[in-house]
Amino acid sequence: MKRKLTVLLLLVLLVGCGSSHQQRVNVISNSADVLLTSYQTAELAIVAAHDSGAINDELFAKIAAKRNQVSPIMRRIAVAWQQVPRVDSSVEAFLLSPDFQAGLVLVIEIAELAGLDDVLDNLRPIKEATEQ
Amino acid sequence: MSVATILAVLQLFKTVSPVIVSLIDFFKTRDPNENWTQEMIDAKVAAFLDAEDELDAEFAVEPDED
Repeated sequence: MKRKLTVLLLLVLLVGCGSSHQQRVNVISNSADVLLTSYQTAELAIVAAHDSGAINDELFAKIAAKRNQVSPIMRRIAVAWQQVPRVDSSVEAFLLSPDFQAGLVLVIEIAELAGLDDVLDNLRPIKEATEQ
Repeated sequence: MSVATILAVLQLFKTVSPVIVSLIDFFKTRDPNENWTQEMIDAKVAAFLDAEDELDAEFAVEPDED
């Protein structure tokens, strides 16, 4: 009976730890996915708007300078996200990291410059959540 | 069946039921975005980095000719 209870307890702990680890991976991944996808959606929309003449050369140059500043940060966020299932970093550590925070702010600035309301709608909840 | 046995069975059921619920939750099919795996993340990141390489050219600032 004692052995059965021990096995049961270990099973409970295993399932508990497994689901909490998966939950952490899910929260980080959903946030990283929203940020990276929104950023690339913004990039494509800006290129299309520039090609169609909706964004003039002057504004495009301004946005491009900011985009080239944020691109290396977004690449680092992507690589950090890839490590998440294998390392024991918390959700807070990932979302409040300097790269994630800087990336979020700069992508919001780019979306504001280009007038991309859909992108802003996706990113504001994350910004508000990380400010709390 | 004695009262002690019934209590023991009830106690065991109380202990086991959350485990069964957790296991069902753990193994049931979910929306892919609910349970991210390493493979899904790797694929997303690879696609992101490839697209980023292509977009670098689109956002390249042309040097002044002066």
